[in-house]
Amino acid sequence: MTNNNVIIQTHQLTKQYGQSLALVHVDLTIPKGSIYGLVGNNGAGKTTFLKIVLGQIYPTSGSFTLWEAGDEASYRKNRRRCGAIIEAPGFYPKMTAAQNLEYYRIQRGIPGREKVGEMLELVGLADAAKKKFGQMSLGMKQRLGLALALLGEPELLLLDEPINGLDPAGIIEIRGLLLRLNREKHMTILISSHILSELENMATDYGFLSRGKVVQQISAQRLHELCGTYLEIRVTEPERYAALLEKQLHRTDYKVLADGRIRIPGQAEDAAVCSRLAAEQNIGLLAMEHRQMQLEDYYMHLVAEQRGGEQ
Amino acid sequence: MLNYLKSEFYRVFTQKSVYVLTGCCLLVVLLFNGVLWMMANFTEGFPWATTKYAFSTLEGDMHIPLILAAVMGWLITADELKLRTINNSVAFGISRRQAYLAKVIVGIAAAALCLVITEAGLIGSGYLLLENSGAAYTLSLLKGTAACIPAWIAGMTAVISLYYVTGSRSASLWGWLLIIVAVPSVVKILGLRFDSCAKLASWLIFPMVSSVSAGEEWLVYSWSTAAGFLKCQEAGIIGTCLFLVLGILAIRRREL
Repeated sequence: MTNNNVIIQTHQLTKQYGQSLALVHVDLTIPKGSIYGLVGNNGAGKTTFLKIVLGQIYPTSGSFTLWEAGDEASYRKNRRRCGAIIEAPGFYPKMTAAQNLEYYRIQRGIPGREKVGEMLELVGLADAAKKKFGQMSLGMKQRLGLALALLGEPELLLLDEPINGLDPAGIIEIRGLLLRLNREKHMTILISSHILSELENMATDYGFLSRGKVVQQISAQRLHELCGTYLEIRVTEPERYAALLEKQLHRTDYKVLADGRIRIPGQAEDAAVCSRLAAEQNIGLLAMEHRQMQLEDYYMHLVAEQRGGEQ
Repeated sequence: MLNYLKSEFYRVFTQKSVYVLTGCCLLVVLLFNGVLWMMANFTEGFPWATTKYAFSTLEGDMHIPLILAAVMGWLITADELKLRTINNSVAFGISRRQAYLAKVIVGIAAAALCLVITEAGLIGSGYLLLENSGAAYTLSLLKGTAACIPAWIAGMTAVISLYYVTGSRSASLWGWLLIIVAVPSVVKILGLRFDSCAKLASWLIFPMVSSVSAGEEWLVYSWSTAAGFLKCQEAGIIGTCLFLVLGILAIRRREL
């Protein structure tokens, strides 16, 4: 069965280094035209996943397709439709920014020497064209990596922590550029990050990884629905209050945190009911806040659930 | 493959290292002939200021170009595993085998350029500054060069292969010294006592290119006879093939 709307599809992808598992039976689907946020802590398996897709490392078991290509020759051919920055951008330190890009332009058979200048301009490195890569700052190196990834107008962009080393203005600029490429050129972007707030305003889909396992794949729209708003309450007797929530308000969707705070999904209007319950039962209400769950909170919640499940 | 090859040519020939190595080699041969010329002018009866002596000196030290070929191969690899530049190429769909073969081809081209310039410098300055001993010695040098070229290519392929086997530039050099120089030298010494070792040493490139003995009229090299010439070429081609296979297997297996 073919699916033209899928760019990458993995089936039980597993990667083992010695005794440790970097990826465990990963099933991920990257839809065409999406900005896919691959979210995970350090060591979650994000880079390993990207490296496998790009043929830099081999999976221990499982399989994947890139534009439906499963056999080696067409898979390699399809990699030419990709642009990528994985880990630190790899360039020759004694060559200038322009020479490094020219080297890859020739290698990729991209016609027109002016492409190098255009790419440097696009990522804001036009003034640093003659600067040697070894003398560049981390942010400049990252920008040059992005220029390389964009060389030849790829259909799929794979970016591993692309904002590392960028200043706040640079982050906004690059984010704007990626959004523009996705919107105007319909470029599919797979972007990994552990700084979730950077993905929040960009991603259309998310894949959450933890300890090499996929915890959840979810669309941005569904995620926003799930994140929602909640009340965070601090009371003098959390256990008794929690029991009352169940008994009197029939709420079972609350969560008692380790420090005694209680989180109840709901709107600001629920605050009156919750405070009245505390007052009627002579429970001291120390604090009450109406909050929006952040992507970080959601991810941490997922990870905690997964770890709880493993134990 | 062709695009990768072009990009490697662009990289190698826009950087200084190949030119510096070639310049150093040229400088050494020019200095050598220059010193012979000076000695002839300032020392009465100095017998060595001849093209015979100058050209035979290089011909008797064909292991030096072998070492230089390894240095050239070492320069060509440019530590790309550490720099992760090969990762970009592989990510773009260039096959590892093609990337490896392109490195070897560019290495051969760069080494050929270095060799041509150096030998041209030696022969040209020899004819200009020294007493001409006749064309026989020039032809002998060119014959020796032709005999040793496959061995030099094998030496260069070895250092590139060992880089992908070990993943380290320094380890590749040490490995090269061990496999190409040290072990064959020991085998050659053992060959003085054991015939089987002597036979084996006669096929190993380092003992082969450094083998020189005194003949009736002048020096005798491994390639002085037709059979020896052919054997030199065969040994070089076999060595090149072996190291090519080793390199391809190593780069295919390597996780980047």
